Order: sequence, then structure tokens, then C-alpha cells
Amino acid sequence: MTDKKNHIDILHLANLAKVEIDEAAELKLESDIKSIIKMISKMMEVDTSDTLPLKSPLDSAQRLRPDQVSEKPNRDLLQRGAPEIKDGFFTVPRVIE
Amino acid sequence: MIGLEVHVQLATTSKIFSGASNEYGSLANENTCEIDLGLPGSLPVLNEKAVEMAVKFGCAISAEINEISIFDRKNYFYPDLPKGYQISQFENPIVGRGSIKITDEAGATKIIGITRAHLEEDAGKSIHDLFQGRTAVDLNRTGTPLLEIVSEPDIRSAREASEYFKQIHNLATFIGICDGNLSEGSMRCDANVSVRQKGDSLLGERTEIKNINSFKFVERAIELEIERQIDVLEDGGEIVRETRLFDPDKDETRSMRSKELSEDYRYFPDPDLLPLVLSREEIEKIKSELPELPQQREKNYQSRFGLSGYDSKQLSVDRSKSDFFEELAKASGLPKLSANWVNSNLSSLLNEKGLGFDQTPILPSLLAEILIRIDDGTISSTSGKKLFRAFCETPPEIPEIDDRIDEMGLRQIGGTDGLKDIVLDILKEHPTQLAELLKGKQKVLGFLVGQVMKKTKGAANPKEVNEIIQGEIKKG
Amino acid sequence: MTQTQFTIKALAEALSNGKVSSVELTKEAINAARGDTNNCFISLSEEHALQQAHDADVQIRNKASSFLTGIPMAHKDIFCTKHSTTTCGSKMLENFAAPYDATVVRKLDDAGMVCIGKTNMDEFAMGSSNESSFFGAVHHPWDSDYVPGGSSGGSAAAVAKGYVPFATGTDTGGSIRQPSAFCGVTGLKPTYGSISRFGMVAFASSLDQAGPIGLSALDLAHSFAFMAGFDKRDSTCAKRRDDWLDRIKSEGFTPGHSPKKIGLPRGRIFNEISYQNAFETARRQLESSGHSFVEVDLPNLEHAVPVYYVLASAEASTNLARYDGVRFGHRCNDPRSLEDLYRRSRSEGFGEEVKRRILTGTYTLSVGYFDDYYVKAQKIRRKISDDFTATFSKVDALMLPTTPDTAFKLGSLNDDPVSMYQQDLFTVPASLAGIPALSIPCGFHNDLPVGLQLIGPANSEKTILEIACEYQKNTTWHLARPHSNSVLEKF
Repeated sequence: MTDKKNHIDILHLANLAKVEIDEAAELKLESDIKSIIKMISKMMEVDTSDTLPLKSPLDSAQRLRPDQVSEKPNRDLLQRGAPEIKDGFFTVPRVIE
Repeated sequence: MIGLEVHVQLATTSKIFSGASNEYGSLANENTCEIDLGLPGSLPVLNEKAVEMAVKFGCAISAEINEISIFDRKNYFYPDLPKGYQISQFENPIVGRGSIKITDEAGATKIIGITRAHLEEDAGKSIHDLFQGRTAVDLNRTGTPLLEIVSEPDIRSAREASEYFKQIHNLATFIGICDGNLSEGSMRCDANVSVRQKGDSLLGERTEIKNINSFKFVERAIELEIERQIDVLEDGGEIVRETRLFDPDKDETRSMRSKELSEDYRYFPDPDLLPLVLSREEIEKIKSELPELPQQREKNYQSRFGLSGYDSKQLSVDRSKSDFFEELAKASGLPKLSANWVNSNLSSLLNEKGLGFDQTPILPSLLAEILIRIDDGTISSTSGKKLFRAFCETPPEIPEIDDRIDEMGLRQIGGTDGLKDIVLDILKEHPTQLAELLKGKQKVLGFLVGQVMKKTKGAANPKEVNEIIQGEIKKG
Repeated sequence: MTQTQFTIKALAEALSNGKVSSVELTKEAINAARGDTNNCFISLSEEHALQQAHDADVQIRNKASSFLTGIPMAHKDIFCTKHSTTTCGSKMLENFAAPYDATVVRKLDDAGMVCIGKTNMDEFAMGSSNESSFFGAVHHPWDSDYVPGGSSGGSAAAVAKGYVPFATGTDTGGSIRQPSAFCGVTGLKPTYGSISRFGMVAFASSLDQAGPIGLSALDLAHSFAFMAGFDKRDSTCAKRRDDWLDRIKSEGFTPGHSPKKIGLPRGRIFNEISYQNAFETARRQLESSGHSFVEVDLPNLEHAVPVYYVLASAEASTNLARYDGVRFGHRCNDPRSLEDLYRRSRSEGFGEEVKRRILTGTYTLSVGYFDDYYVKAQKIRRKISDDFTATFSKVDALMLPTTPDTAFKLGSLNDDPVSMYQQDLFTVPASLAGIPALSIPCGFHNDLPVGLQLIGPANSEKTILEIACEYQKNTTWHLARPHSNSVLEKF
């Protein structure tokens, strides 16, 4: 387990997370994240063999809502901070499928 | 070997996690709110109707309904996925293992296993050909509730796949969880296709064809993909695991560059949504409210009413049609006549008017009164049709029916001396034809019956007229 | 060092007696905030505030006011407000104008409070020093060479400086309690789910909780009563039966006092705090009020920091995926392709700390690591929660230090994220368990304020607030102010 964790492929993570990292930053980030992972890995020593994961401090069931339309169309307000709008569409550089 | 993932848009009023309208066809981005747009600070709250519909479907395929299910985040970036993740169910779906019956190529019943069905939110739409150099993003569809139904790889041919898709479509529309509108994308499917080489025990690598939205296209897309895979293998090539797109215009499937199958989606339980918990009682309640399903109805129509297989199928696909038929058959006590009427006269009238069976202009109880009167000879079949048309325009109260028949002069002159007299008159008026008939020329019989019908303005029962003429001939 | 009496309670009395109007108070507060040299605020909204103050004065005249009506306050810039930008301390949201108000904002507006502006914070609430803000670090109110703590550093410093008697904060792993302790003010992280998260920009959804920062535990009880409550727009917002909170809204809070059994966790980490003397003096003070102390064991507490960083980073990495430059927020210039748009917009929009956490979270959620890290952390989270549950069957509350040390110097931990994370040692356990925790000033160490933490079982805010009120009745640490020019003291 320790083996695979010695290597952290920062560029792969950056690709998944869609952030751009230049070479200088890559080294620093890699060493930061390595030390963070090392700190985190200390918890591995805890025996959790008979413990269930706790997903939320609220140990209760999900609350649902009735099937009602409660929102009125309000496109102009919702799009007021949009970087690029054309005829009510959000637009981005063309994607080739 | 083929597995299908069918995405069924649930016919809720509002979206799965927001109170925005779930209506189709508004202006771009009109039916959205901060939750659909994934604006900072917005939070999802699950629509109880979507849950109910998922359970309904699960019960309809006799599946295990999970009392606890979990919503997970499926993480990937795409312009029509506002939050950068899709809320879906990964390890703990709401509906577990079930099955559905289809008819295979040989006409035999085949059971297709359903691995699971889970709730998730639909993504928006990216439109690539609207603007020069830009992809336009419309998020109206974002947050439409989807039930994704995953089949076992039990499907063996393209036709079976299309049949399976059809069955899911019938069932989902029948139990009222989907409007079934394929052209609007209310139901779409992804097909996983892999071929096994002769003599090879191992299955080859699979490809996934995305977003197919018609029965015909499913069949064609799979046919093409099977051919393609066989060609590749025969040429000594290898099948690459990939996502492909079916292009009906070019009649081909092609690789999609924008999607990688091996993407790391980093599924994890959505911390904004606690476990979805259903009680046994809630599940049982939904189950008990489920209508009798098409395949069961079809069987009943054959065994209980003696209807043909074809008629039974015709009557049981559409829920409103089937319900109408059942009420009509019950009220009239005439299942066969009811079946004929629903499949012919009523169907063509609705067709003309562009109406569905949930919008019939006549109540089954009233139509039953017409059928009863046809059956007992009060009116002829032809008169029955006239009466039906008239009643669709201005429906009478039940006690007024007979007055209306008389007003319209449709009461059949049957079995009385009156009809016999008319027949005798007609025979007298047409001595040549009578002579021919007496010589055994049956052809003129139709002509003479026609003349009687003309004289009685259709009020006579042609069968009876026929019998009277035959009787006269025997007498000589 | 001076003392202030100008709490919410004092101001509310002055307003209802007609000694001062809300408009006067608001003008003074804004003027003072304008002269602020500690960088407490990201934005001020005079026009909006004066309108609210005017309305408040009308309500007060018409005797249609609440306990909070007319009192100036500030929101941490993580709460969405329609009337101004909501930046979350990030370049990504530098110009983001939310089309809606957070539920907390709406509730305090409805109570008649006057929002003078939005306070500075660590970017996306990720930080323990307020240095990760795109809008610059906040300086410590007592010594500007020091950090005020984070992430609600702007709120804590603004209250300490006396610009407002109360500000909102959010606490994911200590972001209310730690800056409150550093700045010498009082801060409450309530039970998870007691205040709606709607409109509060998410950092780690299973941990984030809004809460009040103020001058006294009594003031916190009042503001908490108005902030808390069921919200149909947040399905994790609990339906609580809290008659005492309803009563506060109508009658005000009269804290009761009954002797409580307080647990003191044992262990190495608790012996290493720098302000043992102040902490021990506070304990004796509480003892003299009739409370008793017992030592307790919380064996899994020491694993809280790694567990917290796994969970918080993982949740953050996906909560922050929506900042993609498509629908709102920062977009890079002239993107060549969609991929370029994503990468550059996010790289330009996010600061270093945020990127570190996104990448850490991406890593721990990745295929092959998920069970080792994320699921493992959730399991230990249960163990920590179970430790608390077991302890609270024996004691009414726990007393812990809020921080290991006093505030540290600006820039001193910037290059060492792991040491920075250790700052949260005493605050993350209550966050993981989702239970209420309160930090109150308990003295000074090296001329800087220090705080102690009272932690109770779920929904026991009343108990810990009452212990704190009793303590603050007998001590004056919470009233100590860095300078004598607090504007609110004019009244």
C-alpha cells in the first residue's frame, strides 16, 4: 500500500480537477501534497475492522419535498454574472463530439 | 451479447432536486433556477414523486426495492453538467434485481434480467451547430428526474434489444411514470455490445453506443455495431473499449472523441443528501396501488373473454385504452363486441380528432348502451355507428337513449310483419331479379337486400332481411 | 486595554429607550469600518445598510421590533446576498452577485438587523490564518503583525475592533472558534443542521455549519435564536423542538445556572498548550461557580486532524467543481478550447491553498484510494463520534482549549500546510461529530487573547451557553478591547 502512495501523479490529478499547473508549481505542490498525504496516513493505524462509516453527523433519513413548481422563470437575474451569453444560451468554445 | 441502459425521464411536475418546472420545450434556460445552474450555496432537495415513480417501476418488474438507498456524486466536467458532478446512485440504487418478459424472434417468451434501476438527474443540452465556433448550453433539461434501468447482458440480438426497449417503454407509460415521447428524448438508451468469436469462450471487449432514442435506431445501431466488430475481428484487429455514437443519416456508428470510458468518476456519497429511507409500508402501499400490468391484462383478455391474441395485445398496451375497454366490457357484458368497437370505431374516431384514450368524447357506460342495443337487435350495426357519432357530439342521459333512437328513426324494423311487407314489396317491384334469384343466381340477393335497406333507411337488420328473402324463395 | 459594555444587549436597550437611532448607529459603524486598517471587510454597503436602519427605526417606533432590530452587523462573505457581491474571499467570485439571499441573511434581515458589509475570510473558508484571502490577509486586532485566525477572521476581528457587536461566521473545522479565540471574542459553532446551509457557499457539506461571533455568550444566544430553524431548502437542516429558542425570540434570554459536571480530556496533546495557566485559572473559576470536573478519555481524538483533512478535502474537491467559468464567476481571457477554458479559469481563479485541497481531495477519491482514505476516515469519524457519545453519558459538557497556542505571526506558517492544519487539533473533533462547541475568551498569553472551548452533546447549546454566561458574569476577559476608539462606545 505504501508503495503506490509514494508516487503522486500531480499532472493526472490536475487533469481530473481541471487545473493548470506550471513546472515550478508542480514540484512545490507535489511535495506539499506528499506531506499532507503522509500526515493523513497516520490514521491508517486505527483499527476500524468493526466500525461502519459515518457519512453525516445527522444519523437520520433524507427529507423529501412535494412535487410542486416553486420557482418562476427568472433567466435574466440568474444569468447576470454569466461570462458569455448568446440568445439566452451559455456559450463556450465549440466542443467536437 | 447486448446489455441496455434505458434512461426514462420521469413525468413529474417539478425537477428532481429543485422546484423549477419540468416542462419540455421552453426558451433556452427558462426552466432553471439556482439549483439547476449549480450556483454557489444552492442545495438539492429530493422530489418525493420521483421516488414514488421509481418504486412503482420497481414493483412493476417485481424487483427488490431497497429500503435504504444512497445518492452519490459522479464527478466529471462538461458544459451541460453545471455542478461538475451528476447526482446519481452508484452502490446502493433504489431498485434492485428484477426482470421483464419479451417475445423473441421465434415468438417464444423470453425473460430479460434487470440488474438495477436508479434515480439520477438529467444533464442539460450542448448544441454544437447553433453558433459559429461556439457550443451553446441550454440547462432546461438539467435536473429532469431520470430512472436509469440497467439490463443484464441477456439480450442476444438487435431485434431482441429493440423488443426489450419497447417493453420498457410500454410498461413505463402504462404505469404513468413517463410520457413516452421518444422524439422529445423522454426515453433514451445506451447499448453495450460485445461479440464472442466462434469457439471462443471469452467475450470480446465491449463498446457502448450512447443516446439512442427510437426502437428502430436501437435495432439498426446494434446491427451495425455487431457487423463492425465482426469485421474488425475478422481482419485480425482488436475491439477498443470506447463510447460510440449512432448516426442514422450516415447509417453508421462512430467513435466519440469527447468521452472516455475509463474516466475516473470518483463516485462518493453526496454529503448534501442523507440516505433515502423507505418503509415497508410505503413500498407496499405503492405496490398495492399499481394497476394490473399489460402482460397480465393481455393474458386475461384471452382466457376470460376469449379474445384473439392480436386483439388482446392491441387492447392492453395503452393504459387508458385498456381501462376503457374493461369498463365497456363490464357495463355491456359483451367483451368481444366491446373489443371490436374499441379497436375499430372508437380508435378511428379518436384518430380523426387527434385525441387519446384518456380524452374519449363518450363514456364507456353510454357506449355500452349502444352495444347492448346492437346485440339485441334494437338497432343495426350501421345505426349503432350513427348513434355513436351523434352521442359523441351530444351525449344523452341514459333514460333518453331510446327517445333519441326513435327521433333519429334508427329503431330496427325487425322480426315484425312490417319488415316482411317491405321485403315482399321490393320483391314485387323487381320481378327480373327475383326470377334470377329463383334460378339460383345468389349475386342478386345482395342487390335486393340493398333495396330493402334503402327503403328502410338502414333501419332494417340486413341479416333478418336476408333470412326473410331466403324464406320466401324456399316457399317458391 | 479597555473594556466595553456595548454588546447587543446594551445596544438593544439604547435603541428601545430612544437614546440612539439605528441610522445613527449604522452611520458610525460604517464610518469606523471605512477607517479600518486591519482589512476586516471585503465590501461595505452603506446605501443598503441605511435603508435597513431607516426601516428598523420605523419598526422600533411602532413597537414592532425584535431584540435584534436596528443593530448593525456584518456577514462573512460566504453568505450569498442579493444586494452586494459574495466573493468567498476568492478571485473566482470577485464579481459574483448572487441572485438570492442565504437563509441566514434572510432570517437576520427579517429580525431587523442592519448589514453594513461583508467580512474578509480565507478563500472558500480554507485556512486557519485568513492569509489565503484573495483580498489580502486580515490583521490581528491586538497586534497587526499577527494573524486573526481563520477562516472567519474578518468577522472575529471586526467584532473585536468594535465595528459591529455581532457578525456571522461559518465553521467547518474550527473556522468560528479558532479566530474567536485568537481575537478575544465569543463564537459558537452550533449542532450540525441547526442553521440552514442554503445560500452559504459550500466548503465541506457534511461539516459546514454557520454560527454567530459576538462579544458575549448572552449575545450569541440571542443571535443564534434568530439564525437557527428549519429550512425546506436545506434537506440536512433539522427540525428541532427548541422551545427555549422560541422564547428567546419573544422574551430574550435569561440564562439559568445549575451545577454541571464538566469533563476534561486527558492526554499528551492537552498538556502541550502554551497557555496552561490561563486555562487552569478558568477551570478554577468555573469550579468556584459550583461546576465539578472529571477527567475523561477520548482515545480517538488525536486522529481527528487527518480524518478531517481527508473528508473536508474530498468534499471540497467536488463542491468546487462548479467553478468552471461557464455560468458565473471568473473566466480566463480568450479560451482556445473548452479544456483551456476550464484549466485557465480555475487556475487563475483559485489560490494556492484551494488548489492544494482540491488536488488532495481528488487524490483521496480516486479509484484505488477511495476505501483506503475516504471510507477509512468515515469509519474513524464514527469512532470519534462514539467517543463523545460515551463521554456525554458521564458528563454534561467538555472543556478543551480552543487552540494549541496564541495567534501566530503573519507569514510564519505559510510554507508549511501541515503545521497550519495542526492549528485545528482541538476544534475539528466537534466538527466531525456535528456537536455544538463554543469558544470564550479566558485570558491572555504573551499579550494576546486565548480561549477555551465548551463542547456539549447534540442540541445542547443551551447548556454550554449557560455555563459560558455564568463564567462571563464572573470574569471580564470577553469585554477586553484592543483600543479605546470603539465607535459603539459613544452611545
